[in-house]
Amino acid sequence: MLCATLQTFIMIGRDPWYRWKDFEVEPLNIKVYSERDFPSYLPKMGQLYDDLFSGGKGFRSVLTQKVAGPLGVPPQTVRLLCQTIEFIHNASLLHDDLIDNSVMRRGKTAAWRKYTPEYAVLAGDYLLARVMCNLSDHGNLELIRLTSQTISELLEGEWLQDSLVGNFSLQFDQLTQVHSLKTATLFRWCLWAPFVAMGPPVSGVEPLTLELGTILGTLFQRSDDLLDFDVRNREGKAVLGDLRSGYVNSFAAFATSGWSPEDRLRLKSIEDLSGFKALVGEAEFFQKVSLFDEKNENLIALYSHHLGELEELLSGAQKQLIQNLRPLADLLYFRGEKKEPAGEA
Amino acid sequence: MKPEYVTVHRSDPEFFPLLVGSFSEEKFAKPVRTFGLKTEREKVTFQILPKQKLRLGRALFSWLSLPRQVYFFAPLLTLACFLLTSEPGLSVLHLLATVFGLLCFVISLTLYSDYNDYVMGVDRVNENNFSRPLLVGEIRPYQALLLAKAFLGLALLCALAMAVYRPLTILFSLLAFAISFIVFSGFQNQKMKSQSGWAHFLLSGPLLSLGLQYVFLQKITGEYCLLGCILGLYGYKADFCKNMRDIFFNGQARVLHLTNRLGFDRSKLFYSLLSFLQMGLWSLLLFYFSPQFVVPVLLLVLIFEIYVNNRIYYAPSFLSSRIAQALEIQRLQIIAECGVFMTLLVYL
Repeated sequence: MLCATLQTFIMIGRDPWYRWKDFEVEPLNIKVYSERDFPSYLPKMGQLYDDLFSGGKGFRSVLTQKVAGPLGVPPQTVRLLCQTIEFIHNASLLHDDLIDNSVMRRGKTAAWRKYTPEYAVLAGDYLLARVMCNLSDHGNLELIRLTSQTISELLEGEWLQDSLVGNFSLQFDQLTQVHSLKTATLFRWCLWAPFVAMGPPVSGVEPLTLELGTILGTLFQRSDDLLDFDVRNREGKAVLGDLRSGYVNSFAAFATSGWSPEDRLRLKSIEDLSGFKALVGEAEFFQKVSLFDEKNENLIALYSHHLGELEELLSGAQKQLIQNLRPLADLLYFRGEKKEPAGEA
Repeated sequence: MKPEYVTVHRSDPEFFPLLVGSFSEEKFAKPVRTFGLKTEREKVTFQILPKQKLRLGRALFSWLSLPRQVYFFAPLLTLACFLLTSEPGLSVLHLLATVFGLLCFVISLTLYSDYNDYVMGVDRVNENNFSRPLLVGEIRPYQALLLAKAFLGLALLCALAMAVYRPLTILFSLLAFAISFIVFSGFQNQKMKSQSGWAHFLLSGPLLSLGLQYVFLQKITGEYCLLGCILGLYGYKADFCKNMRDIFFNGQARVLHLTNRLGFDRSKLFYSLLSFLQMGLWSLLLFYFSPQFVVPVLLLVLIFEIYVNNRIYYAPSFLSSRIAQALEIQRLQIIAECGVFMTLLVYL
């Protein structure tokens, strides 16, 4: 009935499942338009969401599907879950771009610049409101509670991260706390929400699933932070954006751990990557990348260990979930380029 | 080499040997993840490491080092100096024995506290404690417990020796032991842990000063009590500052210190109030001893307080490095101010 009343369509690329062998995958577009979700009487809203949702990889909704499939979640519920996570993620992007003064998003002008900052804020808020409406219609109270908690944690992480701008003495372990809230919370949701949608699973599944989500989110964030230093940067992402904005990301914090506060302050004046490498030392830079990789390989090993534990708690077709999740940690972190950081001589 | 992990439920027989490190002579189990802390479903994932990762010397240095113990060492030395300068006929040997016994007691308390926090899992979720020797694998927990017992034994021997000289030593020793056990041991639930600030204040402040005065001089005077309050406030303020840094983890662990109840922003104001209080007490004490030194000493105190309060006030969040800077300056502050006071005592 919901499908009949909604003017909903899902455009899915060549292959609905993420092609894990090749990280450059057809973007998964989820476009939901209906008078109920995005009223046409609100000027420019449709156009804003068109710009925002197109061009995204939809990774989080794919991850959700990777879990939902083996659990036998009904297709309608899968669509709801995918829509929910994409709405939350994109709402955070709308707000993030305004907070960070980012000019571009997914190859296009950021919403706050193209339209107005007010529209960007309201558009983000509206996505979160629609999430709550849609979940309420679905009627799973536990899912609503989980999603509300996730949004709270995401916002806490954003708040804390904003307080860290300009803090060049930030320690690596402190950033892990922020990432656990900001990035990893959505990954935790992607892995756990399908279980919640199907009803309470076997005892012990929840903490393991949440921990797996935390590890994936942490690896994803750390890999993204390496892109900022042109390491495994196949996407050609702009370099050193974080540091120039006054934000010490996880790799910068790791590479400068043990430095005195005075030395750390020199990061403030870095203009480009060659400047950073000169400050750290050219050979030292690649050594730090190797050590950073080693640290995260331990995390990947821990991920595999927990997957093994989770497998013991699942039964029948659910075990396919383990096969779906197994390659993810490696893929998210190394992005298909294991142990060969880009730029190494 | 691929890291080795093992996950064990708290109810499993191999859990405790893994946790305290007694399961193997060649290997050490470092807890890396805890699930369901303080529930019956608690389980811990350990990383199994080879024995050579243990660093006993570094662990000992960490427990005995000044940064960790300064809030007791400095008041103890100041009070000992105060006793010696106010009563020249005092038995130096007995005083040294008392000081040594108290130092052993505090080190034992530190070891017990770390061990209990580790076993109960509180330290395992607070990432600010990741530098502690047990969590980074520098020493096995059962070795830490043995060391704690050894230091406690030494402290008891000193207390018994002093009890022969001054029977009242027993009373103050029991009082100190009771406070420490209630607040810092794992026997009580974590609710008492939230009173650690008051315990620090009493143990390094009024209880210490009045205990020493009564045991050696068999009297209690206002200036000793005042000095004790001033010295105890250093420990309380440092504990308060640490709790501001740990506000997030304490909230998660449901150990609700005053900082959690006040919130991060109001805690900054409360710290300023503590600073004003301490300066007021210093003024009173200095007026009593040597009015001519009130201004220069208060100036020194004011400089430190302004710096520390500035760091704390402008910290945007508990993750800010300004909190860590404030903690470092606090250590310098107690050393400098106690040093100046001791110099004054000798000079006068």
